[in-house]
Amino acid sequence: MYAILCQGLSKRYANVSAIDHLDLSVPEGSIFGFLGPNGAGKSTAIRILATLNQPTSGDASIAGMSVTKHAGRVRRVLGYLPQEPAFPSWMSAREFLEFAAALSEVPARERRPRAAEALDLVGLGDAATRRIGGFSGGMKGRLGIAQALIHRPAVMILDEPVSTLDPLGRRDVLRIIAGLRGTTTVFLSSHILDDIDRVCDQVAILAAGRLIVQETITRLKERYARPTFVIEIAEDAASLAASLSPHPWIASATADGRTVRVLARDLARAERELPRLALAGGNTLIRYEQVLPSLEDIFVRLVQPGKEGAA
Amino acid sequence: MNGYLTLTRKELRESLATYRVLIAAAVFLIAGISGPLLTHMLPDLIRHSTTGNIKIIVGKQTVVDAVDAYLSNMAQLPILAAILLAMGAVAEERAHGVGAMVLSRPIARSAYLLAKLTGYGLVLLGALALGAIAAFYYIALLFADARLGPYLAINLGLAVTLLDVLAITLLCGTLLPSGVAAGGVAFVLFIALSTLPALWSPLGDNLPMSITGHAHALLSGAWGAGDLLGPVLGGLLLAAVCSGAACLALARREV
Repeated sequence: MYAILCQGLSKRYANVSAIDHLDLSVPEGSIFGFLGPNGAGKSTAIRILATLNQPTSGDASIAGMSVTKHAGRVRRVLGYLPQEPAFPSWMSAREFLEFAAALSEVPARERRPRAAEALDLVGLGDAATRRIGGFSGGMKGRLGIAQALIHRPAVMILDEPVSTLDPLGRRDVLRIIAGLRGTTTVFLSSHILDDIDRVCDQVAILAAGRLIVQETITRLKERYARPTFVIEIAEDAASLAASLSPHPWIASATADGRTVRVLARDLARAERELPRLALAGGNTLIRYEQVLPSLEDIFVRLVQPGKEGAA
Repeated sequence: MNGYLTLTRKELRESLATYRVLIAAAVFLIAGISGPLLTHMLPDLIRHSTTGNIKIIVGKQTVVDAVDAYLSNMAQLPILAAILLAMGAVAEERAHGVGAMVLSRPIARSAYLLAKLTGYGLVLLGALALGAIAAFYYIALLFADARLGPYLAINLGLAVTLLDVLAITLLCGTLLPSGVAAGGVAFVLFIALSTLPALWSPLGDNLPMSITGHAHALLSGAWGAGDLLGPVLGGLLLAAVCSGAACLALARREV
């Protein structure tokens, strides 16, 4: 059973195609990362899923209900945090959550306990009666998560929930999101690939409105893994990178200070020849390591095929 | 209508918390009482401000002059204040992300808009009532022959005019991307509607703005309750049409 299903979802603005026949399936209870460069169509897709925009063609369903035909019912099971949320600054955090709960048809007697529970969950229990106008960006980010889960939705859609947070705020919010695994389906878009790598079970990568890949992170790394070597020498690494680049079994060699990151096309040859070449010019070898590709390596490779390994 | 009561309560609480009530009350109160007070003081003010051989004779000010001054004041600053207060109600919330968080919940979009109309309407009508009562107190105190009936009729015209201004401003806020644009267009539309009675009487006479143009007729008894029916119903119809159009526009609008 899928919590979110998109079938041929398309959105056009005049002559611009924001999303082009997007097919997605998000398993129930999973934490799903939605990635793509700026302008890839992520926010457009998210607004359609949140029933705020209409697709030009195709459809999507949340918990088995069409977002175009049963928007009202979808909103009952959906928690949504927009990319740049704004709050009524005159309200206290508790008042705002009770207001959000009332709009989501939470019975009156349950609103206050639910607000207290949500505030505790996001670490704002002590700030319950403080006006939102005096909150920091991090506190507002956490309040945004709290309002999205106040009615215990089956599906939460979070558009860049950590982009405005400092490292500590990000860590806290990611911990909250990770804690929802198995009980709530979380559909999460973010530019911070380390965060996605840390909390998500599956990812979909979008570029120019089209889905490039949807896969579990583990399988994605297996599937798109390219042997990567890191060579650190005592000397400046630019000349070593330049001497390695012409070899046909090397996809790319990038210098960064005294380190060269080498992406190999032929693993066996790289394992055989790289140590020798690293020492060829009389370099002093400090570190030689074969590393796993990061989600960022894969992301760059998929959305910018011509620049693979450049990151 | 899902969410209407919750959203209306929020609008009213917001009016108190953001001093919207206080601002509206102050504007209407000052505009209301300054008319009859200045009218009463006008002969003395002119007598004291003229010097030497120049002599300006001002006739005795009557209740008609006082109501005229009240009406003239209430048709200007309070209308502008109504536009300024309501112009960001929809456009700014939509632009700043509050709208998205509210409209992604199981509420009717028409409830969102009608709650704003109710909330702002109650604030403006309350402020009008305050200004009108205070002004009538001074009219009755300072002038002979103050009659409540025609005065209520004139204020009924003002109330319906305010509802029209509010509905037009909310419609503009739904259609346009920013509060400033919504306020500007609403102001231009209000000016256009205000000049209609002079330009094309068949339509203009059925707008609430025409009531204020017939203040003398109302005070002298030449206009009666029956004459008010057309402008009041016309004004309510205009407010209903603008509100309906705003609901339709918001239902189709991408957030």
